Amino acid sequence: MKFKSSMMTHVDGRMHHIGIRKEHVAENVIITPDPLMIPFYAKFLEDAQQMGDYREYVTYTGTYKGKPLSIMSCGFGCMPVAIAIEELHHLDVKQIIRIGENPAIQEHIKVGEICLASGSVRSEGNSKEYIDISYPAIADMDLLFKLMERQKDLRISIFRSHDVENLDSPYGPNGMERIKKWSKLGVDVFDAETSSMYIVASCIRNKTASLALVHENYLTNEKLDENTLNEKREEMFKIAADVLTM
Amino acid sequence: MKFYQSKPRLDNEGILERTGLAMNSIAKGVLLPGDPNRSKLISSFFHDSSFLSRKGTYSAYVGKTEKGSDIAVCSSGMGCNCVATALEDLSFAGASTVIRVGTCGGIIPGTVPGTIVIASGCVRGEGASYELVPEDYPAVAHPYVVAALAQAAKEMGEEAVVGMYRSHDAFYMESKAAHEGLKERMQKWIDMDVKVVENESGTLFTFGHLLGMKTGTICVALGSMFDEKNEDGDAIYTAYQDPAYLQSRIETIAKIAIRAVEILDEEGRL
Repeated sequence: MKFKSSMMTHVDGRMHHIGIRKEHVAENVIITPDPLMIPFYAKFLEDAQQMGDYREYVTYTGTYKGKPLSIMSCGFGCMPVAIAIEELHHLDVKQIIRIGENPAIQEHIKVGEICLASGSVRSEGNSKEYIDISYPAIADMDLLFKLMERQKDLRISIFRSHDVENLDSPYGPNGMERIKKWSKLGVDVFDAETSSMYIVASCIRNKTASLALVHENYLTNEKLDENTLNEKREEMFKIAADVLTM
Repeated sequence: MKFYQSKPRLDNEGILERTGLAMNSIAKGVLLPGDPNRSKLISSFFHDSSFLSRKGTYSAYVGKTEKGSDIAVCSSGMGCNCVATALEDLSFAGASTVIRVGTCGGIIPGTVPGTIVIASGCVRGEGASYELVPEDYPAVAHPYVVAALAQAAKEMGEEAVVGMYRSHDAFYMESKAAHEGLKERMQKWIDMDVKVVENESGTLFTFGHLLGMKTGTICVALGSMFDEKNEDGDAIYTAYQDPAYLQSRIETIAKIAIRAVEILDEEGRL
């Protein structure tokens, strides 16, 4: 089967969920789950303007080092991020890098490290609707290599993306046992978006990559303080922005 | 009865970190829209409504029903991940009955846009419930909530359909804009008389039961995913062609859900 969804718009031509039209978004987009974080990231663009604010999708577009770039929220979890990838594709977006803050589940990983998902365990529901579970969720190789080139000390990781984030956390029932199971399998980071983003992108032939700032470590109980968190967010954004405007 | 006990994930100020809700701060009866911007709209039908909190996609307001029952609204964001987070924190915040208020896509060809559909149960096509309960576990709305919603609709002169839902995670695999092969993918659900597709109720009903909550869903159908495509070639659901009508239908189900909370309170079943 060939993947080809229809373009679904409102009467004013804005995309059904992300609430923007083609002229509102650059060919390269950074996405991040939280809509309330978008004004923070938009500060690092030049001439950033708000282009959309619909459901969990807030979009700002401007330039970065003189080249067009957009930052958009994609909501939390596999369902809204897949919609974001599909609808950005309809608007002719060429490359997408997801940035987010996520917990690490290996003792040797320090908080503040930035991890790049080479692939991700498909524990969410979304990607299973697209293609058999045997197909791996992996990053676009071109974006992966560019990110590795831009930032040599990125940690190359396998993520695990799943839907009930608190279940496999120190707060969940038997949370530590659940965490250790994945830790022993060499998973570095838990998140909720990467595997569905990678699978949808593979289906519709788009380029995506995912970065996670380790803001806490479930095994060592380390947590980043708010100031360092914001410094690291800026650093992560700039890595993604540099690669997308190369 | 609570069958799932986690620890609250609190920030330095003692606020629930993911949703911004405070412990034991919310009404027993909570309406759960998906769209953060819809919380404010729904709260406008409360008496004495006030803003409670906003974090991420979670926007909360509290108030009272016409006859004085406490009520709240808290948006979740779309999909099973957000609903799981919202439910767990709403449980810590003191909610005991959660009613989802939203929109859905009709499966049955000819579904009239604006039709009100109350969930009896839900096919578990989403991911979250598989992390929480075995695959053979039923996603069933609480009958008290279903009955209260049906009664409230009747009081308002609305003909509501009570029927089976299907939740799933990939909008572009099962919608009017879906990738190729939609009919083949949906045929078994048409044959089983599943009425509508959305993204939250499978998690809401199963996780809600584990958390000792009573849950239900009332949605407006946007039309059928098998309706004719429009002249301009896009795949908009029929209801979106008349935004004012769609808005009025959403307001109607919000009022029905508010009345349902009041009925449950009167019956001592909140």
